[in-house]
Amino acid sequence: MVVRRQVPGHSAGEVRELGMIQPIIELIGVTKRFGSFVANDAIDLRINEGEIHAIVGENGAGKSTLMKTLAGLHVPEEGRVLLRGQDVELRNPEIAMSKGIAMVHQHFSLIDALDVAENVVISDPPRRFGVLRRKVAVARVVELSRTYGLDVDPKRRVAECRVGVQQRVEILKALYRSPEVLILDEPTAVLTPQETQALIDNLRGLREKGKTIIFITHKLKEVMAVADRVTVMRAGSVVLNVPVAETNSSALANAMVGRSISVEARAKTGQLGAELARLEEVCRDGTSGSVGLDHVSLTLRRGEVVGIAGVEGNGQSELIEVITGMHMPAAGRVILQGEDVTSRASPLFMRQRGIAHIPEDRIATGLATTATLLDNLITGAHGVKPIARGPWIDQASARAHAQRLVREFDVRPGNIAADAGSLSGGNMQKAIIARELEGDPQIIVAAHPTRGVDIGAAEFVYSQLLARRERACVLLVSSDLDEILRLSDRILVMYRGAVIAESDADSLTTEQLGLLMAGIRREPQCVADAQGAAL
Amino acid sequence: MSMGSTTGAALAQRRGSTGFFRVWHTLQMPLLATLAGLLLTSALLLVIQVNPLDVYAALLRGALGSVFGISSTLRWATPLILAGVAVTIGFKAGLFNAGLSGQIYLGGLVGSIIGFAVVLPAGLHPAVAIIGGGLAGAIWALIPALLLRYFGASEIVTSLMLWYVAIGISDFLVRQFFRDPTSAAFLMSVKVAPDAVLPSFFPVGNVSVMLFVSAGVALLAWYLMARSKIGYEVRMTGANPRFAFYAGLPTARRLVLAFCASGFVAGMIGAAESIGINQRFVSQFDPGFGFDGFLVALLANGSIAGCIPAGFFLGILKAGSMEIERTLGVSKSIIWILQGSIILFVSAYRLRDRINALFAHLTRR
Repeated sequence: MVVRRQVPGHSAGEVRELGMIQPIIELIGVTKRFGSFVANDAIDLRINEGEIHAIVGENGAGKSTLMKTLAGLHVPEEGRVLLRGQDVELRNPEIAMSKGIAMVHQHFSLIDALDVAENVVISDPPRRFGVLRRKVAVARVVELSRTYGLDVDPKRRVAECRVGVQQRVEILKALYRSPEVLILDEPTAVLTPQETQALIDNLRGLREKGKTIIFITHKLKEVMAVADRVTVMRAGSVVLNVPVAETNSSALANAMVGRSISVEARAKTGQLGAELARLEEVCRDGTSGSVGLDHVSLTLRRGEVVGIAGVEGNGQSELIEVITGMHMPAAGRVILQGEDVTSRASPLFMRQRGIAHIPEDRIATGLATTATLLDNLITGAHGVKPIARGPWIDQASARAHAQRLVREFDVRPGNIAADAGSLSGGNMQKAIIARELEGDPQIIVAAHPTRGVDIGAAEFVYSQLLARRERACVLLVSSDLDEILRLSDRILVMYRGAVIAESDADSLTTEQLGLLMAGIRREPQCVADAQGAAL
Repeated sequence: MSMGSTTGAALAQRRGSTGFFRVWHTLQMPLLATLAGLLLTSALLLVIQVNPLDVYAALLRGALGSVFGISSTLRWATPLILAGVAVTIGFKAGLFNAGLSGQIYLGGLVGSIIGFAVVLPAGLHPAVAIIGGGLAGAIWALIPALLLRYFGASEIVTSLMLWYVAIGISDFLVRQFFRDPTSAAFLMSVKVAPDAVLPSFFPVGNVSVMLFVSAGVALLAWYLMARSKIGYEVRMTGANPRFAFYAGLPTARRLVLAFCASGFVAGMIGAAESIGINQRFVSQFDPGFGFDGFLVALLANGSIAGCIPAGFFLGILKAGSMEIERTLGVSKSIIWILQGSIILFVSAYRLRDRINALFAHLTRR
């Protein structure tokens, strides 16, 4: 048991303000290799007690590896880990846990069939004669939930909880073992804006209780909002470690990618062209519990980016499936360049008509992960010359095609003979985009194109999508408001399967969009009036 | 049902290695599984106080130690290679052709009918019989394929059930119309015409030119799967059906085609056994090629061409088992135990791959 060294009579916040900062964790020269690949190269890092410490960096910069070292999941080859000034060997997660370090992973490890309380206490359940004491478990979870302000219903089955709630359960599960240090790996990647705000409030609450929090993120806005100190990693090394008060978003972004990038630039509206596609009063049922489509109409024109905003699960996926031919509408019409194609829609047909699709689920839909990168990159192109030569696939042309895409879209590692599943998430996404943008599509349907993608790769994706706008229409679906606002010329908000608002991008603010996504429909004029009155 | 998904070859590619390591990764699984199977069987033999080395020596002597032994090995390798190819074609498409035996029976029936009821030039006759048998197998496989396409019925269940129907149909037709009246004890058809019998090229035994046809079919199927547009579409459909649908590939047609191709190869086995070995249709002539095909396919590790060596290996086991029984007094069932344990270890190895993949996924970055 580690004894807290807190100054009597002062809260953690006051200690921080008084400048009596204790380093709780100190890493000295920590190096972790995987084969010949150096994931962490002689890392020196100090984490102060009671602070929120953000770790940012591109995909593959070594952030998760470093945190897993602290959580006892990796044992470093070199270097020392000091906990309150004492050398420790974190050989496995159980040791790390007993020293007061807990980690919440990016992918949840909850058991859907059990209820919240059972999941929280799973690492050390209260038992009598080997049987779970449910009442005790529920009481402990209620107490824990109250102490940290993390609102959950202990008796609800995890399968019935929304993602944001599941994450609170994960955090409670980590807090159940009373850790001093809580590590969160990309906690906001799956959250809606409202849930993200709630999480940020929760993190502040935990800091007030004296916990030290380390979190990994891609989103610089969150760093600026909540963190006390930020560490930037690049290619296995720490390149920047500063108090948040002494830096800003663009400095962090530049440090992450190692070159200067513009975070705020938004390309101006292009020249509007001919109508490419139109949906008229499209209806359909949802799949497995999600909402369907409720009389959705929309028009796509050449030269514009149309953004579909909304909290996930409000019919966006269903809309995409109709436009890309993966699902027939139950009612309504799909019209491509003036021709009613409702009854003929199929993925093949829509692709032949120039509709490209960057799907929301890379692994389940976007790739055949057990096939080679080569095989994944030539799909579609395999049926036309020069790759198709009669009934055969010309091996040299196929390789040349794949090599060219790998080079142009900087897919790393670019070994086209390797399985597509061996790529990191960001590189999978680049491979998909490379394939989908081939052949000059007329309409590009992009669902969450930068989810889980680092800032450098996201910039690349944005530039690719905007570059296509001259010749095509981009239909962008995202739950990331900044992304929607930055790229779109026109924004539609979906709520419970219906389009509840449509507006030019310039006349909407993040706050208005957030309200619309929550289903609070107000005329833009009224919102403006209300703001005017408030001022 | 993506049996051929995490193959050794794929692992080798994932690790970006070439040359020796790639060959090793491809062969590692079948070799290790076979070794483990031999060890487990040895342990059993030791329990019944038989020297395993004696058993394996008898096995090799029986299979390769004489001209007759070699002919026996080649005789069994011929249908086993095809059975492995039939199963692997299904695997590539993500399908499980559990009804191989049904397609074999109908192929045997049609092949033998062409053999005794149709008059054709000598050189052409066996070829037409084999192709006819293949078509019968393909048509029989078409039924589960269409049930899968239009009703989503599991091809495993429907093709397996159709096996029994195939036995019924072929026995009924032979009993009613083609029965050899001189044979009272066994249900069998009249003999095929002499010019329909597959020519033999070996001094003894039942080794016909079908051996070369088997190897040729395996190589052809491998080439088509690896290099043709349709083969590519079949592979991608098998690797991830949702991806293939999303990408606009004609997934339904490719699944039906692959299943029929699997049935065609199975039908060829039946025809070749009928006109080559038995020279007539014999009721229930299949000694379990449907099951053996899966062992060959598992050993071949998802590679169609790999079915050639895997088929030979199983042929050795089959040919050598008689010698074990004859000289050592150990039941040849021991070979079944060996085969079964090899399957067990192949499966365990695949499980290990899955666990490794999961672990790699969790610890990535």
